Amino acid sequence: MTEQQTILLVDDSENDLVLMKTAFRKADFTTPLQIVHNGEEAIAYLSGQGQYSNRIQFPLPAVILLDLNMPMKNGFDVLDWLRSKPALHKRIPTIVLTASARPEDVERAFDLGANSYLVKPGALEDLIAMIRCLRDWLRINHFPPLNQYVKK
Amino acid sequence: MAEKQTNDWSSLCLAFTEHAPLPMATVEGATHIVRYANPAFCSLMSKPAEQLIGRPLSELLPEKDQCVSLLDRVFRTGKPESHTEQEQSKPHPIFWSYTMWPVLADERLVGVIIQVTETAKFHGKTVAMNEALMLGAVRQHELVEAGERLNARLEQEITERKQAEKELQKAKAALADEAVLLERLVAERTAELTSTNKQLEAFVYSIAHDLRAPLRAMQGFSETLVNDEGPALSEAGQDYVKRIRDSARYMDALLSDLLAFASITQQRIELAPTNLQPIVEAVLSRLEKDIAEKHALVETTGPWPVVMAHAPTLSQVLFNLLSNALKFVRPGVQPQIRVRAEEALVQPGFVRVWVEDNGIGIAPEHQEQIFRLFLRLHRDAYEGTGVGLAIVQKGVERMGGSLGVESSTERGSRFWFDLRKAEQH
Repeated sequence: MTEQQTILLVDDSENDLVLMKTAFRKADFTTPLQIVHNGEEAIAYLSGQGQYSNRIQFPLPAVILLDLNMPMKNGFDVLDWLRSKPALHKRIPTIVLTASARPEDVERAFDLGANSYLVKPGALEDLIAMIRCLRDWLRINHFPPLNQYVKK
Repeated sequence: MAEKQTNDWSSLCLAFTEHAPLPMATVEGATHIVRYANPAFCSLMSKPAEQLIGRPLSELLPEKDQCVSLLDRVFRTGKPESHTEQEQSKPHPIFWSYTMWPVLADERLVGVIIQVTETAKFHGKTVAMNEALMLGAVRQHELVEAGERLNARLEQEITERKQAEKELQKAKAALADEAVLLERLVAERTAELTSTNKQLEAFVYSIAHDLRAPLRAMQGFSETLVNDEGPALSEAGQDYVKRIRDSARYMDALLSDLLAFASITQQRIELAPTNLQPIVEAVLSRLEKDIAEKHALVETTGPWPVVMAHAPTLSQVLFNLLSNALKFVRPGVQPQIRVRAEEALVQPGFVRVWVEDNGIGIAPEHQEQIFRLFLRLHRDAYEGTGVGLAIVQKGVERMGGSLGVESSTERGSRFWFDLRKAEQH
């Protein structure tokens, strides 16, 4: 992925969002973040509805960091929705980042097409290390084009 | 020869009449002269035979005796006659039965044989017989009654037995119903319990996660405060923030361990043949940072048998034992740890895994307690939550194994656990 692309952060906890932003900054991960607070907003963003209709302002993300336990629609609903969509949305790598380490949740997330499952660490330094790792992981991966696909 | 036979026959007949109990006599001619009387006849007439023989019978009998006219008739007709006559002179009536039949010589009637029977004896006997018959009848009646009573009782008993059988069947049916009910109750209770268990599990998770969210914030922001804003704070302020951070960290560790303990207690554990070597290696690689920081010497000694285990649980057990071995060392001492496996000597078919260290050891009086939840022997000197060994014990037990420790404060600790050896195919 390129530095210009966007990461969509889906989380309902303001504290976690601030910590995440801090961790991104400290990990020198400068890719712009787009933030939504629940599953419903995430689906609206991804389908370009309402306030998210401007794709230049709200581009399709290169990767989604998805919390599971959220009000309105939760992370599983988002995964379910993504899977039901055509290739465009299905292609977006989706990383679950949650407090839950329940085996059932891990199984369900992967069954619904999650590409990775991360548990929020307690210590900030661990979170920084995780974000750094994520950055490196994204750098070494090859992903199918998204915006180009839209133009066709 | 024929003569002799006839003589023999006559003497035989004479012997019969002589010994017969019935009075018998033979009379001859129209005047009925007695020619023969047997002893029974003599005794009936109460006279010896000499006074009877040669005399007409009519002289010997009481008057009005019909016997003589009967004799005349037989003599005249040549046909046998019988007659019964009642004698009224005795207090009990006596019946006399006469039977008379003609004696023929060359087809000419010469005399009559008389046979007299006193039927009173028969009468008495008949009465007695009648009585006996009556008694018999009564007895029979009694027997019939007794039989009927017996039958009635049998019928009653049969009815009762049938009733009892019916009751028994009813009871059996009730019992079956009860069993079905019990089974359903057990199923219901099991379902309830399972549901309660699930709820409890969900509760533990949600508590842990909900508690963790604010904790993460406390931890994260206190860390940021210490790191980024530290210089702006006074020394005391820095100390306070560090205390908040450390407490939050400790609470986080506690929650992690509690979750691990809950999961090892509740999760479904299926045992499968598990190779020890890759598990030991994976655990050591997870502890790599710790090992490097403490310059620890870790020796793993094969060969590693295949055991019946649940891989994640076995990893957790080994991880906790090894991180303890790394943690509980005296300051300035290089941790020396040895991990090895051997055939369990005391338990055939089991493999004993040893984790040996040169740490601070456990005093004999504490060796019993160390597996208890939240027990911490060294609260101040060493970090910890007191859950690690409880997880180890629970994990080993859930895999059907046993565990223990040999330790002294001089030489360090040797923790061991036994797991069933996998069958080699």
